[in-house]
Amino acid sequence: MVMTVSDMNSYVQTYSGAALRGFDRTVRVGVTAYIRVYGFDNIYGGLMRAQNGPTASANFYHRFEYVNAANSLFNGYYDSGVTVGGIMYPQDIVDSIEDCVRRAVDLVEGRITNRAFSALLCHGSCHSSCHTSRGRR
Amino acid sequence: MATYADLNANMQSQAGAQLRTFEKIHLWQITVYIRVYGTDNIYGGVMGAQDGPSGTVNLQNRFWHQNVNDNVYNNYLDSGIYSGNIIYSQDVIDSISNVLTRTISQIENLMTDRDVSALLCHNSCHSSCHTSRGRR
Repeated sequence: MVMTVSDMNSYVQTYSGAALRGFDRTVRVGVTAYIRVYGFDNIYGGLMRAQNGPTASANFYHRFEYVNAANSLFNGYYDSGVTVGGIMYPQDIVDSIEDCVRRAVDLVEGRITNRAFSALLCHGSCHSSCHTSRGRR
Repeated sequence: MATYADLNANMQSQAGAQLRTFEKIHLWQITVYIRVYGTDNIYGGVMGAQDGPSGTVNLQNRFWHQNVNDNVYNNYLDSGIYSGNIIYSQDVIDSISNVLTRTISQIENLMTDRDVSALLCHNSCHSSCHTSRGRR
């Protein structure tokens, strides 16, 4: 059996797609926030200062993945040297894999999107004013 | 005639070059609300700032892989692929699967945890330090 162009196209889609679906990474973002207030009370005019104001830290987790990537994302990503009726050289295979790597890198970059999140950074005293060890007060 | 050594070297340099193009700058937009509610530790009075200071900051985060070595792909090309040999479909399949899986793993490994510090000033804070002509 001779490997055809169609076979090659099928392989790059099936096996590159499967590898891409393996992309699943959760990144921890540790946020330390410092609130600094320095200004004048807009009613009474008094100077308000909190230069070493409240600080708090919290960890947030963001997941980047492509677990539902379609095989067809790699459709046609084989080297132009792979042609109907042509001889397929080993270098054509290497070139095809290179094309797939380039495509995979681009697709993964596309999945790393901007994220917006709200961080309610409580202090211990804050938390315990709302919660006991048995749950919400 | 392309030997396996030639092709393995090509695979490393070509795939490595592609992996080094991985560079993504994205945005963490963080809105922080500080909530303070407790008891003064000297006078005992309750201190509440339940709708306390808040602010939003945009932080750019960069994931990239500029310095990756080609040798991360060493021997990821199936050993049956070289000139003068019968190349079986499974050899091609294994090579694609191995190299692509390696690529994804490399990218995942560089996506490391991050720690950010957010100094969230209010306008009044900013204008107390800066004029339109610069730092006071």
